[in-house]
Amino acid sequence: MRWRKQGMVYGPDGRSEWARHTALQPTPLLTPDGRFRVFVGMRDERGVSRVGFVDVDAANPSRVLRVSGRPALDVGTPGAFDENGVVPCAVVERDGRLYLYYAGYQLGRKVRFYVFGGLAVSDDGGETFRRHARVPVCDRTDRELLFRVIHSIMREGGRWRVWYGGGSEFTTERGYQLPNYNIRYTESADGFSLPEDYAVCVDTGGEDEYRVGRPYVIRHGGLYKMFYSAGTKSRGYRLAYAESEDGVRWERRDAHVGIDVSESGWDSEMQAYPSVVAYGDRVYLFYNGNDYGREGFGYAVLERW
Amino acid sequence: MGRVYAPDGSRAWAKRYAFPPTPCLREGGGVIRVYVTFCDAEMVGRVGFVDVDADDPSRVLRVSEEPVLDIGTPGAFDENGVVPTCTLEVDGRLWMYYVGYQLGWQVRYYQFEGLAVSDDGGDSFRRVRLVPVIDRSDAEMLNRTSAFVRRRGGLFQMWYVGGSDWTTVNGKALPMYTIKYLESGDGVRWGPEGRVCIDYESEDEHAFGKPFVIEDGGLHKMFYSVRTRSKGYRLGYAESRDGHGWERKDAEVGLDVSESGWDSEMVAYAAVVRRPDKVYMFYSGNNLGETGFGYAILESW
Repeated sequence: MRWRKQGMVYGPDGRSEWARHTALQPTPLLTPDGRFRVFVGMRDERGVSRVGFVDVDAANPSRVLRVSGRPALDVGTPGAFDENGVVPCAVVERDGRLYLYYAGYQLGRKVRFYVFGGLAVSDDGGETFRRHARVPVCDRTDRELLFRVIHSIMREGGRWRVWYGGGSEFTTERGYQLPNYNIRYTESADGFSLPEDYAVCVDTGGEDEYRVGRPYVIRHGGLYKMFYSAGTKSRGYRLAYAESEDGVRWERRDAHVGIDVSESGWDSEMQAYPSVVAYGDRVYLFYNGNDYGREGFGYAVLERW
Repeated sequence: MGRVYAPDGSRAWAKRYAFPPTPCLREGGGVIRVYVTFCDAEMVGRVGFVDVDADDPSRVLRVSEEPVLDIGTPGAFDENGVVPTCTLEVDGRLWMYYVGYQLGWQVRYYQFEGLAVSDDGGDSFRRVRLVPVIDRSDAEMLNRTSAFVRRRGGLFQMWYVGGSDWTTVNGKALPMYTIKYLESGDGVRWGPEGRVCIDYESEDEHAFGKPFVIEDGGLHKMFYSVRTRSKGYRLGYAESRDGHGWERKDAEVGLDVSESGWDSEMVAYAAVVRRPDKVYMFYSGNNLGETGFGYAILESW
């Protein structure tokens, strides 16, 4: 693969109280009028994320058409799994509604944080969402004690195929807790609950790599293609890529991802949180740069697979 | 009959408290093993036991040297404390349902019910699951715990407390929950929302503690604690013909705080043990068992 970088699309200018900085995990939805509504997590001064959106021209995503003035999904109530932040992961059209799978954050006492997957519903095209439930759609299990977040969900043959991030621990590196999780696959009958059984799709490899996450799965050319983030102790986050014939067994082909950090600028130290969408004969890659998207998100255009 | 046991502070993991008494008959009925939680200096609780003479529960025979159930791993629902609520013999093994505590940031704490099992007759327990057996649900989001479980035929029946809210009492945040009922085929998997059995009767009431259910004289009888804004904990009592519909008869519980001493301000967490000739009620006293636990003998129903 080879991608041609197009630079930054959007980052908050700091004037909005709920959206001081960051546009995390760009999650695009193509609208009937030729726009991408890109859902992102925008952070306030304390770093708490709320879901907003950025509408861009699908023919030219550098052109921002509109930015949400208020959160489309706010944080949960005190004590809830998403009391300390919500970040969009996957958006699905179903029965005339939009379903937003999102990551809910809670801070811990003995571990730094928890992340579990929630579900919210919109009847107005994503302007506002209400919670499907106040608890996660994929809550903690014996084998996923701390992290369990749906990132890709696809209906095939009467069932919902789910690629998600799951894990049970932090490891301590020079006094700092690093979250450990990998990419897993399971199937859901209804899209509203997950079984506990799963298959690992992409695991962490070697001493240096401590997490792989944000699996964004597409179908193309008879294959399942997964774009994801791989986090190492030495280099931080990089974009990565895997392929599969059945969506269950995957081959890591990270070197094939065809994009790397820039020499300077907003994506010079880190690239992560990918999403890949087609518009006509073009294929776009949206992603975040340095410091978990603090400056915003950008995109690249596919030159060749 | 007075106090049975309170820690003397000599053991680091069991410096203070002994609550809530969760009795279990052993050795052909000659010994009552009372599981309780002891707290360390940081107020983190671990489960131990006090063995007492079944003919004279004021006679302490043995106290556990080590926890029989320790706290969970960092990040787990029971990372900050475990408290027994019910033991149950299932297919020759002893099960223990327990409260797992976790401290929060935007609420003070969470309580969810876990399940552990003993392979050595009750001297040590291992977790059946690392997550709660009744975890947070949309209807019962923040507290789901204090389970009393019994087995009837192939059915497990659970009375427990569940709620989603906190309230402020005299400037202090306190949880709100009612007593609810659930059934399960295996004792491990339970539904997301119970049917309410004991509900608030006044604005003064904001929660209920630890139900304990027995069958007697064709009736189901439930002991529980009532938490009020004005008086703290008191014992409550209800009766039911079918185990589903309950009539509160708190005035008939027949045990109130003493004029002075270890149970002068609070009585809570009742557990009943029936012997051929006597009925004992174990309970906790002031400050939720800081002063230890004691027992009473039933004079009349």
